[in-house]
Amino acid sequence: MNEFPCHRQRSIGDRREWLTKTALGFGGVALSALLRDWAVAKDDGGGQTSQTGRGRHGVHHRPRAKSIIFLYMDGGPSQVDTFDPKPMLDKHNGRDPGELFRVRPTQFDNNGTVFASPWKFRRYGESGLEVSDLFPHIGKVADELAVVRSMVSEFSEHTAANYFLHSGSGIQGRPCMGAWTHYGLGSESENLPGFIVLNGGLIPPGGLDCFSNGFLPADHQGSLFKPVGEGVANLSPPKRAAPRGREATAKRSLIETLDQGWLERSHHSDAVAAAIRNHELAYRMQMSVPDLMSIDDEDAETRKLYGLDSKDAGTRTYAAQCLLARRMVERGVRFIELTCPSVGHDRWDQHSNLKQGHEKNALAVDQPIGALIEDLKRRGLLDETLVVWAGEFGRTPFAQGSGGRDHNPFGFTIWMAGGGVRGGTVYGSTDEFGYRAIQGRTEIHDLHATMLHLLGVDHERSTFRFGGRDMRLTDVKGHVMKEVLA
Amino acid sequence: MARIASNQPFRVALTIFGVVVGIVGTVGGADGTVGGAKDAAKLEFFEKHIRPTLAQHCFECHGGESDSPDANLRLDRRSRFFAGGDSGEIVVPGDPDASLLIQALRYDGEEMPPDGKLPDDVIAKFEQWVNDGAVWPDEVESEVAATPKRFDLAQRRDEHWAWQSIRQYDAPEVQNPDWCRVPADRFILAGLEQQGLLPAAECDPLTWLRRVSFDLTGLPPSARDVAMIQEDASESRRNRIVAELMASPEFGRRWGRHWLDVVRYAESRGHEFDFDIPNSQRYRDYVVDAWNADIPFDDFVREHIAGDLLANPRIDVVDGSNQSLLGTGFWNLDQWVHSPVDIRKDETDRVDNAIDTVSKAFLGMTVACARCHDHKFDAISAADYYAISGMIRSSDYAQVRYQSRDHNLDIAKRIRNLDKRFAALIQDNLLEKPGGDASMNDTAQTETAKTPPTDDSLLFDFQISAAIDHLRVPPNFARHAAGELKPPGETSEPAFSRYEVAGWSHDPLWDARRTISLAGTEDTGTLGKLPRADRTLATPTFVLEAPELWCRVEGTGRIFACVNGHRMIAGPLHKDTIVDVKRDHPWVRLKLDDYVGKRMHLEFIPKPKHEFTVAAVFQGNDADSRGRRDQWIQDTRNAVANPMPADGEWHSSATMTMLAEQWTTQRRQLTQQIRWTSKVGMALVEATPLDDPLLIRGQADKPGDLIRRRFLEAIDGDSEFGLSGDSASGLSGSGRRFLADRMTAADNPLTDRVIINRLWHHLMGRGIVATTDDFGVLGQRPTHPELLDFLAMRLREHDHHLKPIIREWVLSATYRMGGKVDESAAVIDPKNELWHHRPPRRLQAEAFRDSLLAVSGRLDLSRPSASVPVHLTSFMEGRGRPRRSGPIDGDGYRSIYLSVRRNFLSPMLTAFDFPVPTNAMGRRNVSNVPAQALILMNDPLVHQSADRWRDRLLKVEDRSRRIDQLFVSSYGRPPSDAERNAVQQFLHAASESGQSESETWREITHAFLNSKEFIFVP
Repeated sequence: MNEFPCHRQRSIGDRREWLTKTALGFGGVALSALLRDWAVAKDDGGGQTSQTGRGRHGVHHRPRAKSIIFLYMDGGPSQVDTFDPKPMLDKHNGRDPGELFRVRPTQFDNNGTVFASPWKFRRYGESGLEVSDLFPHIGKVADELAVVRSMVSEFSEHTAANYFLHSGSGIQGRPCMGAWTHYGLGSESENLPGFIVLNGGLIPPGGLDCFSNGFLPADHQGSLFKPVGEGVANLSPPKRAAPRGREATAKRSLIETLDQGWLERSHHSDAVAAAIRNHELAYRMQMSVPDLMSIDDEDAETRKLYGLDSKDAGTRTYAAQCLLARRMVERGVRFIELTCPSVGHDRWDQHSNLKQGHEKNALAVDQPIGALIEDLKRRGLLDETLVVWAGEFGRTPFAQGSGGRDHNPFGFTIWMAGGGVRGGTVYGSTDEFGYRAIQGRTEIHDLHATMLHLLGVDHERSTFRFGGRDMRLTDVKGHVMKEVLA
Repeated sequence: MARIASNQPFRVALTIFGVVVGIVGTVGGADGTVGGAKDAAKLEFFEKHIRPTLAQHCFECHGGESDSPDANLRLDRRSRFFAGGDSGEIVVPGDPDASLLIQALRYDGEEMPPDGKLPDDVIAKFEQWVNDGAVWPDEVESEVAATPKRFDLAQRRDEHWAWQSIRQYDAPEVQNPDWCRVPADRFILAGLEQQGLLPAAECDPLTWLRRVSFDLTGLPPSARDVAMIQEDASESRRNRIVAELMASPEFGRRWGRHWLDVVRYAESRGHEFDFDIPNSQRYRDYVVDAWNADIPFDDFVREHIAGDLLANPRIDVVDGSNQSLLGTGFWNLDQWVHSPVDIRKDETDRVDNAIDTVSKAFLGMTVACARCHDHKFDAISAADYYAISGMIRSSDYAQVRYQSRDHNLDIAKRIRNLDKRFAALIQDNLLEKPGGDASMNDTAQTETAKTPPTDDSLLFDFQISAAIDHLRVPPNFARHAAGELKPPGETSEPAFSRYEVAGWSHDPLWDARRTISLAGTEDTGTLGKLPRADRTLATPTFVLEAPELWCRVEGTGRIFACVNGHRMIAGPLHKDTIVDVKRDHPWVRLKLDDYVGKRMHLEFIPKPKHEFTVAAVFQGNDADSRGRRDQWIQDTRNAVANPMPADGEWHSSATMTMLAEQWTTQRRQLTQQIRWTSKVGMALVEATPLDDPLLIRGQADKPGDLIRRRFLEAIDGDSEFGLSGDSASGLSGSGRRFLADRMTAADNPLTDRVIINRLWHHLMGRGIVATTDDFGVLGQRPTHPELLDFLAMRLREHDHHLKPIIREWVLSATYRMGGKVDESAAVIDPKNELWHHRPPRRLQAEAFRDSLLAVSGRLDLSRPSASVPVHLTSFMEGRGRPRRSGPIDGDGYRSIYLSVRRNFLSPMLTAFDFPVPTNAMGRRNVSNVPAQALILMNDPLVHQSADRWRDRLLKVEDRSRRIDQLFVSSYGRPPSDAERNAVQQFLHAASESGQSESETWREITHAFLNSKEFIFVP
């Protein structure tokens, strides 16, 4: 909406006529064309205008990916139990870690002894990438993965670390990566939001602010979907039967008449016209979201591939999420984040019972993720879709108490796959115990810079003025991780 | 150095800058006194092993190509290398272990280079080099880069408009003076005339009415007001309408909410579990009431900054509330983290948010940008930041009984004096008797000779009579000497006893106080159990020097070590800061290993209806000291433990009985005056005044020089003006009192401009300075700078009352402009900066929801006793989810009374841009998202409202009148003929198809809620 008349928009040719048409009919206008206009338009810095689907600056260079699927591993999976094998842990299992390296303050301050991984690692694919037995399905697509073993974060607490992973800042209220992406590029979908969070059941600590637009206009915030039922809030009216057929048409026509009168009386205000368009998008969503959500349409093989028939409820939930994510990519949604399903073990946050907890979490996500990558690939979508797998931090190579691991922001593993990423590679390393990143130390800002880069956005040029500064997702930091690019 | 092909850090310098430096004359180490063949070898060692490594791994961030090398440290020049950076010199020639550079390379403390530790053999080379004297060839001076650009505060101040004094401007001459209704109109018209533009034609009276109704109260115009202005749109009628709107309590609910945006108002702490902010609603009510009462804005500012310190606080005559005290609550509305691993860094984050809020809210300046370095653009230094940081850290969060605090402190003082007087009288009387007790006399007379033993480990001695500076004493605590008589109590026979242990003692009498805290809003977490408001004894701030503290206490209660202001004790860490005190366990140890070197204070909290005495606090585990103290306490106890005179003896003294009776009676007279019942609110109170060190690069673990507490240098100059115990200039305490004065001083050009601009922003949709919270270089320039100053002066003429300014403005010609854009104006001034028309504005979130309630007749204009919980949907999940979901319609209360829980904000309000309460947000986003349209189509509250509205309308029998009412309640105007026809046609078609009237009207009301005019103000 536009409170201040905006020069640029007024200069779009035949706009008034177009608006009149849309206000009356809505049907025949190629909205996507208009969205593209918006996507390349420059903002005049007024700072408050925003419109559905409108991006601020568009791409800065040739994009390698169109969409991002962010597989958020809530709670912090352990690097030494997943993608960063450390034989030294077996060798020194049970020893006091303080004798081996300097142990820093931990969240729970209840450090036990060096804790060897309960899982074996094996090599997969042509690349020979090492993956633990927690992830046999992901292992099968190992040649697509670029594993970064040298991630670091600045926070040991979930909430701050979540905000940091999502927004590049440890405090609440900053725009998250999905919002920045949408702000920069807008959406390619005509009738779905461009930034969707598919909630498997676990909203991370820090709450919905992990998906916040922060100081960016609200049309860049994540839309929360569920993988079941209607998918999105307020999609259909409560209980009572909505009018159908002729009555519905009559009602819509009444609204259109009223709106048309108001548009004229407001002297064709941009803000009013935009609100009318927005109403129309909402109408279309009432059609498009049910279409998106009907995964029953998928063939049996695909459904089986993802694990929709699994005995494990967590797997079924995450399978639906992954399948929906693919369907969203197909429909042009720009940024899709998946939160974890609840498997009864408090996310990946195994302060105790690492064995059971990690197994249960891995069981839920392994097959669906493997299927997602395979399915995207066979449909030719993997090349233009960036898949990112990450938690907010890793876990200590020594025990918390006896059977758990505490938070570890000093060195952990994430991976990327798909659009523009060099598959089958390992980048960076932690020390011999998997405790701290010592080579190719990579910050969250670097991850963000790389994600934006693959979408064709220069993270240093994607800015928004707020509170006296040109704000960026990467603040004053961030380097594109060239080593993992294809 | 060869690069390994794979797995190599990618952030290495691409080229080796600055290596090609002329090597002339002698070579030198840090002292420049090396020569000879041996040194040639050292030189070669440097060029071979040291410089290339520096170039490859360090120059990118610490080289000459960067404007501002990280940490102000350059490693590419000899002079700069040895000069060091923010952390001081980095090399001690001959002593690798003492050299920061070597420590950093070893990843011991600092970690450099950040993207990976260098191989051990490379580090060994550096150690050898330092050990050998750190030889580096001399460089030609001209090659050495010029000193970095200096931050010139005075120049920046002189060059930026906002720092310049507010000037008195006369309203300019205009060609068409008749158009103007108020002097300020002339500034707008003059600007338009200069460009040859005309103001848009005046809007019709009904449009104006809709504007003023929403702008002044956030509600649609009433049917009565619509009728009134239809009947008579004269100036006197308009004056009356405006006066009524501004006098209604709804004014404060609209404008108070605007202010709550600025102070990031919330009722929970956010972070992981979204704990309560106890009683923050008292602050909200304070704001609403202050706007309604039209408190002069400078008073409002003073109350916010230092309402606890005002000589004449604003006391509510009805209920005794100290309103000024409540104003300070805004300082504490920030997010709180539980279990921070770095407790000091967490404190710096909280302070940062407070500075950010206070500077944006009142000064329109982004002082928080100067946390890590001098401001990049504005005349604000890092020292400015830490000058204010010192004031905040010299203050402390508190829950206060704001209806009784000062009064009860006064009563307590009088009780204390009374007790002292009678105890002495009786003591004297006892002594006159032959059977009198000489040893008691001895105790009373020579206590000074028997002062407790002093020890190095003694931190606080509560047993001596000398005052402890900055001890915070609530009414229930008083200091007693050993042997002092206790008051006789309310028994028929006077029965005396004595204080056996000297110290500060809690009087359980005060536990009869009733404290009204809002439901569910005691502090959450481990601390929450015991009531603390105005009954907690707090020590001065100190820096912990030993890993444990030993407290000598008597009785039952709790001790809390408040480290770095951290109070959100919940979760795995920092549990050790709370220790319970049990009867007959006089020594209480606090294990504080993790907090050595940190600032803290102790709080002593008595268990209700229990005795509690605080005697002394020792630092470190010093058994000898404790033994000596115990011995001393035992000695004094023995000395005073002599039995009271026997009963018979006692009764024989008529004087004694009389004195006892008098004591009891007079004491009762005083205790009867105690205000037993009081509400509790949140406040900021004084702690121990201390300057704060500047933190190098903003890092909590890198303190630099202490910064004197003072106001911004750009306004006050680098004068000696300031604090640090400078009571000669009338300054004392934390400095907030001083800050409040400087914020509101006539020579401060910011505060008045900022508030005037906020008013303008809310009335016009865009401020004269569009960036309401940033008047700095990156903010926008004022479109009408002279008008801004004119209005600021006007505010001063009105003694800082805001209502007259608002009243004048809504009656102005500028405010009445219509929305039609003139063709030429669209070309000459497309952004409407000169203000040639008034674009329509979408309703703000609260006004939208309140309109739903208003049209449906559901609106309840009273103030609920506590915030109404937000209605929770199945999409609202996560930690800290409130146990109770609120009603769909929030019981009909205005939106300002819906609870503001950071992690569970109302989805309806957030969709319409209700701000996330993080930072000052004087200017909300105005977005346009499908969620808004989906809410209008399908949200249960919208449907409920449509139903209720329909029910109201159906009571109107006459169909034509019913249609009129439909339009008047939703749009504030009657329908046009075409619109009336459209509705009639809809009705006709519906009845043709057999729809009931009730169903049909329900679809109509729902359609009207979905029409865009409903959510816009023209």
